[in-house]
Amino acid sequence: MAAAVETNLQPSYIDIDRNVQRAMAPGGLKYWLWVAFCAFLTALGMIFWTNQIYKGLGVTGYGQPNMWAVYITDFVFWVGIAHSGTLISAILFLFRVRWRTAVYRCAETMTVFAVLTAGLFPLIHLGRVWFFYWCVPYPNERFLQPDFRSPLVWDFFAISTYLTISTVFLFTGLIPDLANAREVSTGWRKTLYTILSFGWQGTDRQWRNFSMVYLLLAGFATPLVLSVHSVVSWDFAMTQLPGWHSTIFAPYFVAGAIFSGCGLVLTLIIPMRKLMKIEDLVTIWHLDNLAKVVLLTSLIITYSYATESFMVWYTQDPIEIMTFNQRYYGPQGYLFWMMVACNCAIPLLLFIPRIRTNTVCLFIISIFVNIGMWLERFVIIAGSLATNTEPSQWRFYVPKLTEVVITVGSFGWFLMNFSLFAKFMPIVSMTELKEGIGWLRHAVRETYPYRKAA
Amino acid sequence: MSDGLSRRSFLKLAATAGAAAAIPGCEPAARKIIPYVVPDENVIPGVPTFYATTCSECPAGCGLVARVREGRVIKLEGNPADPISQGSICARGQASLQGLYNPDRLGKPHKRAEDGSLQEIAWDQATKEFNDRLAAAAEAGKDRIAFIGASQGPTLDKVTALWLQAYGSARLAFWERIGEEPARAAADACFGRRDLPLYKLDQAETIISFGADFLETWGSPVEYTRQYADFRTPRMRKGGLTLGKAAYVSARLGSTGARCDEWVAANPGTEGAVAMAVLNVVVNQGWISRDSGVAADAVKNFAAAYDPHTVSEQSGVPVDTINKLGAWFGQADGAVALPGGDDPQTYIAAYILNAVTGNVGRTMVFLDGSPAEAVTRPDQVKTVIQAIRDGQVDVVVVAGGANPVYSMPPAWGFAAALKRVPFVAWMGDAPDETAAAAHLLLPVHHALESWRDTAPRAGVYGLGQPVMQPVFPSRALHDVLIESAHLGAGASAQSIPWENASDAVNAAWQDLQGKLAPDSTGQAFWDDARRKGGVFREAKPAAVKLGSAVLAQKLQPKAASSGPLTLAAFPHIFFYDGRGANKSWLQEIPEPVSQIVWDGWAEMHPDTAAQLGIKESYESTRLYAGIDVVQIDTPNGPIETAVHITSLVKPGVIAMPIGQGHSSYGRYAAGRGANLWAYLPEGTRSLGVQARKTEKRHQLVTPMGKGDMMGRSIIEAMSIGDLVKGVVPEVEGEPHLEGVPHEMYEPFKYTGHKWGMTVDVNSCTGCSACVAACYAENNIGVEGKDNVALGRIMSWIRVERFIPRADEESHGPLLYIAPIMCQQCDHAPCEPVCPVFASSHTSEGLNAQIYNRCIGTRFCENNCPYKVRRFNWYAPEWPEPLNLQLNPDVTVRGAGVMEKCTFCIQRITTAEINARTENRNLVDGEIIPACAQACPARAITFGDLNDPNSAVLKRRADNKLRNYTMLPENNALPQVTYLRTLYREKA
Amino acid sequence: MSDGIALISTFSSDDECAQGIEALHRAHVHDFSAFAPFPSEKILEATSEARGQGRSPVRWWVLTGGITGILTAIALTVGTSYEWNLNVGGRPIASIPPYIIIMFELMILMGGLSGLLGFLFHSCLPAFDSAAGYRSRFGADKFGLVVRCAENEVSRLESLLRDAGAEDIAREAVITQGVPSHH
Repeated sequence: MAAAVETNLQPSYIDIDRNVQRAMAPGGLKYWLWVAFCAFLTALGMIFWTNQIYKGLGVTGYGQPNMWAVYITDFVFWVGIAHSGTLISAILFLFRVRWRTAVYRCAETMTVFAVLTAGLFPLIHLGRVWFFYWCVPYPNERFLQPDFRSPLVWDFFAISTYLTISTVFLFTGLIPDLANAREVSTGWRKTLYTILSFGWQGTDRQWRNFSMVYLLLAGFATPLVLSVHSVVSWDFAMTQLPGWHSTIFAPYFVAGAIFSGCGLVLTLIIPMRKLMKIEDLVTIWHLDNLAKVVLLTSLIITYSYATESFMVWYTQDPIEIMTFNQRYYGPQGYLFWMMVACNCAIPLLLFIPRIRTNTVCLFIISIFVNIGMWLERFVIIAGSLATNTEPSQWRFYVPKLTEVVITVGSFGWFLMNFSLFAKFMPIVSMTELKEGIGWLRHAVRETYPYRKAA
Repeated sequence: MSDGLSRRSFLKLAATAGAAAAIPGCEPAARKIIPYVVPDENVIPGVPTFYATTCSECPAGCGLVARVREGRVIKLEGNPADPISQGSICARGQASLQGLYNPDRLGKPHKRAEDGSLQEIAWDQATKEFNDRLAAAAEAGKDRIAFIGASQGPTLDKVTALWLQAYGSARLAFWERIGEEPARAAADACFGRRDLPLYKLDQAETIISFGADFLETWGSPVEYTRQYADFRTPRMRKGGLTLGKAAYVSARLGSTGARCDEWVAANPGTEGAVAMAVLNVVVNQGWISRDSGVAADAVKNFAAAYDPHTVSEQSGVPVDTINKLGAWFGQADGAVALPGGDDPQTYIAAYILNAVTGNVGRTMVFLDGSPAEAVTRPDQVKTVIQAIRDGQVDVVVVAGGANPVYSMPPAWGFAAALKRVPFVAWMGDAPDETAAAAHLLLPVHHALESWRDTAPRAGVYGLGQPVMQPVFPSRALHDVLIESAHLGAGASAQSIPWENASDAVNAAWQDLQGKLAPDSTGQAFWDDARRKGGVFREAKPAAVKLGSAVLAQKLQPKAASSGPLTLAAFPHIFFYDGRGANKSWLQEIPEPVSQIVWDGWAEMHPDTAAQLGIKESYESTRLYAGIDVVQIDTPNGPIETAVHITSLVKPGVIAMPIGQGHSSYGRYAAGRGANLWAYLPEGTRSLGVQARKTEKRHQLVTPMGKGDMMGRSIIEAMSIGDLVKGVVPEVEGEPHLEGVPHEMYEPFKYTGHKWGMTVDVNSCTGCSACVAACYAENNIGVEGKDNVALGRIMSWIRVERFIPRADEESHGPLLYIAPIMCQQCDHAPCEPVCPVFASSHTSEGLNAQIYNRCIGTRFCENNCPYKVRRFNWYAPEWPEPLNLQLNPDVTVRGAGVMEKCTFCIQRITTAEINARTENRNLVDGEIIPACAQACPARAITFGDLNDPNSAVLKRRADNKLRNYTMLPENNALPQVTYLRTLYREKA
Repeated sequence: MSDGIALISTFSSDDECAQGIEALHRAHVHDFSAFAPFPSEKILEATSEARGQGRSPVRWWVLTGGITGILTAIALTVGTSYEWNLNVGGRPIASIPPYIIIMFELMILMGGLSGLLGFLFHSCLPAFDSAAGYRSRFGADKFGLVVRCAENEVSRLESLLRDAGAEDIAREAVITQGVPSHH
């Protein structure tokens, strides 16, 4: 099959369908082993969380003044991951960027599950998780409501809105493709797709409303994605803690989010296109473009780091200066420099076209990006708390087993969901590829030499 | 009413039923204990009753007031009527509650079986065994019985003596390890009288302490702390505003020294020599006071051998420092030298110094009619031990908190001698090392459960009454003794006319009434004494004169050390002679200067440590104050202990705290540090030793993250010169601020009360009484060493200690020490970040924390600039019966909840409710938070900021220049302000 | 009895399909519907011109949803604040700036959801019976144009569609407002 595709520089509508349908074919033993492994990690995380709820947060490495640490780091990390999805599916859609069509469904899926994962961490982090719903405005006999001044309540609203809207967005886009899948599938899958596709038939009336709602949703998702990570950044920027109290945080976090998100898209899609044999749809040309976004955002955050430090120096506030001094040269300074290496130095390799078009290099770099962005959040959150305004209360945080396992478990949970979705849903948007089939052909032609080489 | 249900028992039932209903939190245990001290009519569930009694944690004899709820004593305060404590007590006094409710107390009598295990036996069985043994010993002959115990006050000690007589023995020893002998011997030598002088620090302009940690354990710490605070407040002298001059001569800078102007680091054991050198300077400068009535030339000759140069070489104190001390002392309008340690020579030197400068009778006073010596002299104790060793004793009774096995000098070989005794009976509350060597263990009442009286000094007659029913089925020590005397001693039974200890005390006070208040009736006198906690009279100062004999003799201060290094032992401020070590509060509260918890340690100067190859390697991610273990070889065997590297100890000296190292003294004391009493010879607290680094590691844990204030506005200081000039110092560690406070919105209006506090850092000595009081009042959990290392100490108020940087030493205090609690900010940063309003402001300006609303996001603590909120990482635990101490007015917080100081809001509400029911306004000073109440230095003032005449506003106004708020750049508008500590510029 | 014929013409490209629509428009035949595997601009322009429609009414759903969101948020935030009048860190009882964030989020949330509803409503979804003349290839790679006409018009329209480029044209009898009966 692949050999046949190899020569096909003019993919037709039917070729697109074939590729996607092949990707959706029932998974083999390897696939299910992988899913089981992810499920195992998830279960492990859950066991440790249960233990933590039972015994109290004392089982973690938390203490005075490290009130927030790994859990909030994970939270911000996962929320950040989510953002690239919306960027690719919504913002690039508005800008009519052609290469998005092949990757946006994958990114969008990642968004939904990343938010789903992120949403767990505020709960894991709570001292009394069984009362988490007190953060939610709900009618109760004492008229007790949350304090809408608290950035945590903003968080709740931002994250839940983001989850809902991106799910709606993902689902709306899915409807025509599900209808397509309905026509070719049989058995319970057919029933499933029939129900999920709402009996879509692609009449001109339906398409007319479809394009309108899709456009408006994209229009909504764009400010939303910017607002969500700004709100998350305000969890820190709104406090008075040196190292957190900074006006640059909102844009700086958004850029970082997109950076890390595109990083994870690469991490996911590079193995996926191989395993699912959709190299003709998600071509090197697409990856190349993604890599360029990674490079751009990497430059932006490098600039943000510089600005942040400059502002601290410029204020001449001795307390701020001491905090940053500790961030760079303190007992955990090595984390900061690792972060700089991962986020600022290594991505510069992407200036070289041969690296951008080499899937192995891209994969490795994307891993570094993920590590770097996790470290960035850890350095900001744990580091600033450790070196607070009250020297007698300084203490640097070191995680214990519980936090580590729960973090690993969150990756298991995310990958499990993602893998299941990728198998049972069209992970590449057929409609959009057909719409922009000219560009797909262009991509295939662009990619041809590399694939020959490979 | 029928005999079946008497009025008393009916009321008891009614009260207890009410109590049980009122406090669902407390178990049936609360039901057992309803005080009989006063008629049951006084027990109203939910309303505390207060009983006056006396403290037994050290010989100072402070008066106490016990707060009792539903029959359980839940808090101890100082007795305002008592001239010694005057309403405040130290951390050790606060913690004696944990002695009463100690989970390791002996519940029932125990007998040691052949295999050395302990078997529980019934009381009558135990007393039978006890009396039979005594009878047998008495049969065997005279003086076959020895009693060793702590003094229990004049009356009970008399009972003890009579009981022993009844069994035909006179081998009686009242034992205190930190004894009065050197002071009494010196008084004898100098003034021909053996009583103890009182010191009036507030009368002095100069105080020089020769090794006396008078703000920690020496003499009467509460009283001296109060006096010292007065002494340090600037006052007009010689026409100018001046600050009292204070110097501390010791090898280690303790919290006493931290509050002085000069830390004179002398080699251990040479304090006496330094005193003599100061005397030498004083006499040679002719600063001898005319009316002291001593011959100048006699003193000259006497001090001649101690010219500053020789002493300087011996003690390592620079000559000009000695001259300076001499000038300070000689030229002062009122000065006092305080001798410390166990070396009588130091005392003699100090006494002479006080005498020749005419300060005896002024700052150092002997009183007429001082009480008889309670503590037995060491040489007599030694004869008793000798007799035991020689097998002339069949029965040894060790009682009343004295722990001779732990605390006696090694040379006396007490433990070995005790092994030769066929029968050792131990009578006490919490089993200790001596109990481990006993054959019969009898649980006796804690001091707070029994009758006694105290005579700490002339004119002060303290009455200790039980404040609650016994927690355990124990008996009063002297009830057992009286009973046994009556049973065992046939004819001589008449020698003890009383039925029990309370009769004895009562009888003694009938006599006292005859002496003190002949016109009053016995009963009235007795009731009044019980209400006031004793009888307090002014005693007349005695006219004393320095004898010439002492000047004729030559002093040989002990040679400091024979070894490359000197071990200097100092009594731990919380453990005293070791009796405090089984109280979890005292273990958890950091020692004010080293800030180390739950451990024993060895303090070394960085240079000394470097010689041993130890570097400061622990300044990392854990709250460690030290990690490397050294082996210290003493003449009495090696000590292994972890090193705490600090600049606050003289190079070449290893300073170690006394009081840890218990082999069997309950769970809290077990396995911590070394027992230095087992290494120190009699009459000194220093030793020549050798030390070497071992490969072992042991974490010394501290809640203190960084000892460097980085010049931030946390604890501020200003020089007395600036105060006179009216200049407010710049704080270089702070960003430049203008126009604080900034108000973006219309400020909130506080109609009615607005609570605020002022802390005078200049008065605070770091004694941590406030911290202990807070633990007791607010049910604060004790976390243990490992959790403290993770930064999980729960104390709402903490005493912070910052070490000045090298460049600050010339213009700053020796140490920055101050208590820090919630600042109750008007712009509380912790409040808007809470998603559920768990942290919000009350209409009276308190930053309230609603525990049952808190879900544990911990955002508030992140945003708190002062880091004074505490999170419950685990559910706190109180091993039975410690839970009986919990204050029913304060919720016990569960796991996952943030907690914090709210100015003891339960006390505020109680007072407001009382005012409302009595239909009156609150009176300023009616509400006192636990910390302010406990503070011996009166450093903390609390009150209503809306009341223009409140004490707190007055104190701020009177000290405008010193008034500041911490970390102002946060614009949090704290309602707690601090008064800058004062220091004297080094010339 | 049959009252009319459904001509089901299949195109291989959206251009031809669009031409077919324009041809029908010129011939004043408006009882048709087009099928496509993706939202083809050309077809959508042609149809809306032929039918003389403006842009999709879904916009109005979204607008209303958004405004409702804002109003809900104001009620929620300001309302609950005055319910308790708590002094929090000395801030005003109702602090508007932070509340704007809530308003924004709820606007997005409600706008998006009502948009989805509007879309389903106007596209008559869900509808599980297939419309007249639907062929599964229309979802894959072919474009369809289904015209209803009377017997006498069939030949004229067939030629008209052929000229537009229809690959193949099938005829079906149509029962009024019913599913075509296949024979």
